[in-house]
Amino acid sequence: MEKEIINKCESIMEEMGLSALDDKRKQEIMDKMVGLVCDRIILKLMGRISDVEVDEANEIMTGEDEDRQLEFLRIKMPDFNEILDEEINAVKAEILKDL
Amino acid sequence: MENKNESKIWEKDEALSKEPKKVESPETFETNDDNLEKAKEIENEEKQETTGKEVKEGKIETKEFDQFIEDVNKFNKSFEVSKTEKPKIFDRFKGLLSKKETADQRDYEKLSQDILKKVFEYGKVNPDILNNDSIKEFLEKAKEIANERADRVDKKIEGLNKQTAEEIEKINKERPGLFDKISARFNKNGLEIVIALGLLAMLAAMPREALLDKIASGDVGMQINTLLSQLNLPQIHSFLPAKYANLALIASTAAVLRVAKSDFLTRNIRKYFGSNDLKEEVIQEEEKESKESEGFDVSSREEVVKKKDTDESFNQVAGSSEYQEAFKKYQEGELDDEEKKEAGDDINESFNQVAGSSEYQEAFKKYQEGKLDNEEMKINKEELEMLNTLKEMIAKGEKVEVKYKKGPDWEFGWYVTDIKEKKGKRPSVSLKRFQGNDAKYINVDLSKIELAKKKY
Repeated sequence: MEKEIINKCESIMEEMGLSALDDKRKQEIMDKMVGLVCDRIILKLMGRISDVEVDEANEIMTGEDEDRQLEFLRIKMPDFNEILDEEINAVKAEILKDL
Repeated sequence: MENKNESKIWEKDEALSKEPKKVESPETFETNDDNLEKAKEIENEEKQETTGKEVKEGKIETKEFDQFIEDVNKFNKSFEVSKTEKPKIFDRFKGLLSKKETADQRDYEKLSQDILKKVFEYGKVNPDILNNDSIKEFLEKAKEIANERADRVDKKIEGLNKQTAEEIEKINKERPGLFDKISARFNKNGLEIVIALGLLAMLAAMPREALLDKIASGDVGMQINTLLSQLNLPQIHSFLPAKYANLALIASTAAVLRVAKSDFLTRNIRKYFGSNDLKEEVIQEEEKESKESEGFDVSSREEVVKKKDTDESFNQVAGSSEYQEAFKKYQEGELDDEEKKEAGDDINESFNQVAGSSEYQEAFKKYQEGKLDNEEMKINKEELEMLNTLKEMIAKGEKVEVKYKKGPDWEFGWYVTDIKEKKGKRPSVSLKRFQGNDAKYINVDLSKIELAKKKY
């Protein structure tokens, strides 16, 4: 399994033409990409929260009730897998464009 | 034939590393006769076609390898010259540049990536080629080129981050603090939220029988693997540094289990599945096998369930070799500082979250000390031979078909998905069998199976 994950890491790096980098540099780039993808997913989520739901969302996210938080996120993002895919691919494509 | 080829490559490798390299100076290279150069280029182009073919499994053709090293040398020389004489050298380089007359940084990047890919392919067949001087020199250059590319990738990410930051700023003005709260929730437990959402999305989208199979399989390695691919998590893992791949796996395993334990998800799973005969059948079969193989005297169903739960939780939490290895290292203080911090955080968090109860921790301790079960591990010579054969076949990635002793009869068509070995206990084997479009999973004692085609 570990080998498989490493291979996948290599495959992303290869796709970006960065497989010759040392691990530290790869890690830096991956960290930045993870942060970017995460922020973009949250922005999408924010776009799905209507004005009337903002107070409720604030209250849920401030509280400690994880079930309620998950439920809220699930309702707002039932297509999470697709969004995740889309954002990963979009970030990859934007980086590779005219690189 | 294969050995002969390999030995030839070795001879060539040695020759390459011993012989002073015939490196033409850029001037000499430039003043070669045009016709001769042209002829060489045509010849190189032809050879290049051969080099472009996939490396044949298990062997490297000597001629192909020689040509490859020649190309690598050419690349190395050309790259050095390009630093001072751009782009004069490139017309001498077109054999490697698809007949292009000139080349730029991107051509070099593309070319270095192609050559690098080839180096990896060759390296798989014969790792010693990485000691070849030409290849070592190339790898340094490829790294230099990749670093320049990485600088551009950094700038791109910076630009994208700037755009995103502007959007965040805008949304923060409209809805102060909400982005940060959700972000904190997303980051609180690493991948957990991603897995949880993915799992929930999967619940909504997957045919219940298919998901049921995965849950019923009891094979945590396969379960996690399947879940990760179902949840598109490999992509997330792809962004994680290889160094932390192990820990990420542990963390995500733990997270899946934690999520699976949450009341919220349990409620949803119950709601989603309701009662299901197939699930009952699989679980009962597992329990039956478990009783038979472990000699567990059970008059009370509760006792079986309790033991089964403990074993399963235990397998799931601590069963993966990665987890055990990392945990062992962590306990022995063998991880370096950075790893230790990561491992400490991840393992403590995962362990506390998933198996946080003192009951599980106690069980884990006992497990490590081999005290979980007083039953001695008795395994005969034939079983040991079969076990080793199974391991070898699995390690080679072979599909391992076995027959399973069901009552007085042997049932064919079972495949080994995992071997579970616990200190102080007999090894057990996870089996899978296809039934139409569905698959059935059981976990049985070693004595219950034999290879369909006996090899030992």
